[in-house]
Amino acid sequence: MKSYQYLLIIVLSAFVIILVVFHFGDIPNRHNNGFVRNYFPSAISKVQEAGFQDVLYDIVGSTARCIYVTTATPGEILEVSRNQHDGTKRIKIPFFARFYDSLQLGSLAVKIDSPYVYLFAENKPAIAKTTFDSTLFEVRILPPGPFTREAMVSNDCFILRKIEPRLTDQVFVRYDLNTGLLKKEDGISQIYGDGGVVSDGQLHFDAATGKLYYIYFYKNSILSFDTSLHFLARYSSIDTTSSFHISTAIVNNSGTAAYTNVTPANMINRVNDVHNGLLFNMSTLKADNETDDFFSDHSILDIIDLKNGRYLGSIYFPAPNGSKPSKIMIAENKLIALYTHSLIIYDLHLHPDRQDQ
Amino acid sequence: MKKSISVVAIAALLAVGTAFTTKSQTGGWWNVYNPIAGKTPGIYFGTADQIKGIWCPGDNNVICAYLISNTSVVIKKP
Amino acid sequence: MKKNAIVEVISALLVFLFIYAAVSKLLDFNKFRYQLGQSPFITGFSGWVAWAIPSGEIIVAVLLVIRRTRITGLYLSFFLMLLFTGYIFIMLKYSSYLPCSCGGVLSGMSWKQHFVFNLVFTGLSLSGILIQNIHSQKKQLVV
Repeated sequence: MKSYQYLLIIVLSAFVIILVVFHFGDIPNRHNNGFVRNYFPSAISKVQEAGFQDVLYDIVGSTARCIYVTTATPGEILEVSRNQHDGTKRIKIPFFARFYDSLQLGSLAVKIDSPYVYLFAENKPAIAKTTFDSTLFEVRILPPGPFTREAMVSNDCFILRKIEPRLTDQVFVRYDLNTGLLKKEDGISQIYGDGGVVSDGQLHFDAATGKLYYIYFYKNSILSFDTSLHFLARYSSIDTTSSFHISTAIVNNSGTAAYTNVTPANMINRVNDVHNGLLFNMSTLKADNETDDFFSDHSILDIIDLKNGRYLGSIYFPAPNGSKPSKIMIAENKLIALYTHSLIIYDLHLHPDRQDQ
Repeated sequence: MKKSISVVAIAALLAVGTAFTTKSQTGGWWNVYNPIAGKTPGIYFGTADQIKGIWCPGDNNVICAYLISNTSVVIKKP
Repeated sequence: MKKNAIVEVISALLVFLFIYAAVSKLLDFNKFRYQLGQSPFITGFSGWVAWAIPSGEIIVAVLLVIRRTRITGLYLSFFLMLLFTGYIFIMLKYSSYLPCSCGGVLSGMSWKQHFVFNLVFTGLSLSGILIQNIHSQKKQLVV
């Protein structure tokens, strides 16, 4: 056999193997997902866009005047004015270096309820409270077990999703910063014993309804409970993924053991926020009435009425080069979308009775 | 001919040596401990590069791993 | 003679790559196997692929080291590199996230860099085959 014939056989064999691997691959949106979306007409219009050199991490607070964003620089917050002409201010979190180094807090999440700045040292575990004018500095060390999600329900009172060492899983707890009292949930979370990896999600408090909502990342479930940690309801987002699309196990390495995902972690609910009894959820799944191009070129938010779990419709906005927001916040009838290097504010004009069919 | 075989063989030996050297340099796999030069040892959020060995889906602050040896630590993406 | 030297250099580079990658994977075998399990394309058969890849790399490297089997080694290198490159291509194009299952310092590369790196080595192994064949044909003509 001649050399080029060998080469041809090799190229064809490699191509066939890659095709087989591709065929059996677990790729989202390759097949129909079994649901359709309806769209609110003219529901959204861009009002402001701000670009940054910084890597933007999270929207950590907002007021009528500005939006607070954390960046890859520890201890720094960007105060982005809602008035385009006022620009952006860089704020150093007061006492940050002292907290960070002397207390070895590490892994900090931030929330701003102006003038207060709350620092959540999730692994310590501890919560620190300070003010922009440096007149206050309090640190509370919590009972053992890291926490991963936090929602402020009233002044100095938080609902946390926290490791319960006895269960090797996370449960919801209420923590009062003033009294140091910690109350554990009763029967809200299902226990999987993997440190909360499989049941990871996003926790939101809706001040309008006084309820908390937990939206799973890896399946379409939404949990609702009150601030006294009583279970209220379980709803579904509009797709059909009712079981977890991820498996976890203990993995050992260099003398360290960890629970982590051992299969692809197919996220279902990517980013979301809750506002005035409505859930705005960005799913990773394409509806059957959407084309691939439409789905990849737009960020789509499904709106669910949290009174009854009913799907009301969806809104969409452009996703230039396929880039979709890493965080969203709904506030003051505005949608704030955070990207790696930019922040875009949209006006929302929602009329839940009118939808494109 | 002997010389040419040894060039390839030397490459093989070098590769083994390099693999062992880089292994000992890279050390532990859960490399979120003290990843920021000049910072006090502690547990930090890993950046996408720092937690490359753990692999989280998406770009939200999902939990990547829950370490259970010695101390209980949750590693999240920023 | 000069062409022969080029094949030697290409073979040495391929051997270095395969042995380095295989040993790195075996030294961190647990991590390698677990990361393959996270790949949307390999998750179902990550157990045996985790053994097959370093074994294949070592076998090809041995074939390249032995002069008599070098041409077979070059063909198999080309095959392996095509597979790796094709895999990275489908991962980049279709996977929503990219678990890295490469060994040693190669894991420091981004997937796009890795794709280009693999293309270069695929080209090198193809060049090795072509040069070696031309060299053999000339030799036969001389004989």
